Amino acid sequence: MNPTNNHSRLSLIIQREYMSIVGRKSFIVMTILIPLISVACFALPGVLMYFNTGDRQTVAVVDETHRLFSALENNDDYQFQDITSVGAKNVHDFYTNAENVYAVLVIPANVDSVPRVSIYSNNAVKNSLSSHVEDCLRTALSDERVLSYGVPGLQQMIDNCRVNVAVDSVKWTEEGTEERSSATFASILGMVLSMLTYMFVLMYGAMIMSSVIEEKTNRIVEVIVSSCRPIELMLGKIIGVGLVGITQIAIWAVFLGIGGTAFSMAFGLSELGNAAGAAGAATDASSAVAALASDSEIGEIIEIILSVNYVQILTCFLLYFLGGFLLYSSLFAAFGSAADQQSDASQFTTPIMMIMVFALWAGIACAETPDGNLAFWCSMIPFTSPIVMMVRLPYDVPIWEIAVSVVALYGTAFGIIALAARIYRTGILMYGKKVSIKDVLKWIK
Amino acid sequence: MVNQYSGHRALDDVSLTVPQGCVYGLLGPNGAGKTSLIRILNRIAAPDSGEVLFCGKPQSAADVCNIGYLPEERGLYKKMKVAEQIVYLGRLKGMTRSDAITATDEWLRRFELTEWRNKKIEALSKGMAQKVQFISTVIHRPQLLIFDEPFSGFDPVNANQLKREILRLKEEGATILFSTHNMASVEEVCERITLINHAKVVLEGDVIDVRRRYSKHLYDIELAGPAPLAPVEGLYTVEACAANKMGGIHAEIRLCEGVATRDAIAHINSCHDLVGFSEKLPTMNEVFIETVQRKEDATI
Repeated sequence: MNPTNNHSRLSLIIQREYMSIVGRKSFIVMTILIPLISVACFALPGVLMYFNTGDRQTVAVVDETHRLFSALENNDDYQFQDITSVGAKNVHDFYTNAENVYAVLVIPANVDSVPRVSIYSNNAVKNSLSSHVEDCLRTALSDERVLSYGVPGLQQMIDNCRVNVAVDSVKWTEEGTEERSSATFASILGMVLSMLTYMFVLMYGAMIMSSVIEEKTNRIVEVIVSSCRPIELMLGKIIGVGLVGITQIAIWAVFLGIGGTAFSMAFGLSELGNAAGAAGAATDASSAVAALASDSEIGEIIEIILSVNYVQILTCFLLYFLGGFLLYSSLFAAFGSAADQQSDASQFTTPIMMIMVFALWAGIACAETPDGNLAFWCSMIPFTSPIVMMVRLPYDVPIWEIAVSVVALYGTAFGIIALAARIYRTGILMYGKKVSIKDVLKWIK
Repeated sequence: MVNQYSGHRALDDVSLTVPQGCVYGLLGPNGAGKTSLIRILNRIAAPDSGEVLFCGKPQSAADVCNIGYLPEERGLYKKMKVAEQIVYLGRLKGMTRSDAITATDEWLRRFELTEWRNKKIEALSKGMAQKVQFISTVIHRPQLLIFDEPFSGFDPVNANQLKREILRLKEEGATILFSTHNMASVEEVCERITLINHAKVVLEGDVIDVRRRYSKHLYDIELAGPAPLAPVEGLYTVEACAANKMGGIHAEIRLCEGVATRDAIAHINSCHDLVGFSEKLPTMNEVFIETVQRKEDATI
């Protein structure tokens, strides 16, 4: 029998850890479900709104001005019924006797001097109703006021006075050329990436911890470490689970790519149609202008999206993601080995969670002031840098800062791995004893 | 093969030698240091001082591939399939994938587990899981097998099958180290033993030698007639005397200091109809209890 070389033994362990998660049904389900759920969370309100058009509700109106009822437009959700003849005093009786009346709107006679109307109903009045009523009445009343001045063409003048200002942020590159960028887009990208890091480190860190505890509680660990060194088992676990994380991100990236391509293809086609329409039968001048305007807006958005240095950001994301993962997951592994069962692991995880939550809040704060002191130091300190630096990156962090912080992160990560291995080695063979953090520190020595 | 080890506080200057091809019993009460010793032999833990010699050479990391270890607390990956699990553990011990698969199939056949090959461990009964664990201990044909309480958790039929397999492995040249409290199994299978108590070796030697050493000079006597056996001054005392099922007498005598067995036999034979005479060696159980308790008394 050949003595195993350490390399193949480690890769064997990595393989098993990887397959033990990727092979599970729950992994496949989660990989598909998480993007679906997050898409659903954004899309759901719109979808619900869309499907909610079915039942139109009747709103009875007592219009004491006798002229504003016509200003209330029926829409998909509400239709208005004039019951002015009933009189404002009898609306409650009317409401209780009437069927299918959702609410009663009372427009008092003095509404043009005191602009206030009331909606009565047995239920809480929906926001959409009050805002619709408000819109209709506001337009009608302000038009009335404009007319009351008797100045010809006043409405036109007022419309002309409304000015929307667009703010372009243009950045000078080192070569002196201009480049459009958008602070909002950059910071959103940074936040998304740091949230991703945060989520993954927590999710997969916890996965490593429970896997360590599982091995310890079902005692397989004693058999395994009689075949390999404990540090090999620990590293195998960390690397295996890390690869699972990368697999999951890769799958999502493919999803995103497919989704993005599909979206841009659909979008590109409609663009083409628009352009053809504008060039072909440009009889209606305003529609051509609108088409042009939307064209240049889209161009701007695309320019802004392209202005971000993706190569740098994605490279850094991978570096920080991996570094942060190594750092925290080795802590999770070490503390998992010290716990006897899942339930008493919490005393160890609480400090880790606190650091991570702090890092997340620091990241959010740093999105406001990416050049501040807090941002600088938090992106240098290894425990917070994977999260905070991701927020700062879109704002062109000097290369030396990135270099120092990456070196510090990996240096600390490998140091922590070495310490964690010492804790792990002792911890996994410790049974039936409640271990305190003090004991754990003793094992390091 | 010689395994030598000298140790530390959980084990205080323990040194033992396991000859190659021997079935060796490692005995001792709970907390005596057996598990510590076994972990050191498996290189799970390192001794504070001292060393382990494996086949005459200081043990190296590669030697773990020649050791199979069945820990007292059994455990397998519950979510892994039977064959997958055995192959994985075999490969961790340095087997190639194809060797491991061949050997796994053979062992599964031997234990009639073939149809469970692709079942998850959690679907198995406790006894079957124990067998799977045993297979994964021996799959890589190790030279040294370390069994910590191998028979616990087995019903008598399976325990017997296990015993047969262990002896077969011994025939094939493996050295077997048992750690157990089950003294009956020690008498049955072990050739040599070491008894550890309070981190020290208190007894070592061949099983028969050890039992003889603890002999109380007791003998079982069977007499044909109904006449009871009387003690003889300077020759023997009678510890027990009662009628046996065949209408004769069963007695237990203790020879006096320095009396030769044949003198006693000659005397009894001269006045009784002697049909049976055998030396009553203490069981390992008695040896164990006596040794451990003597030690306790000495410390008090």
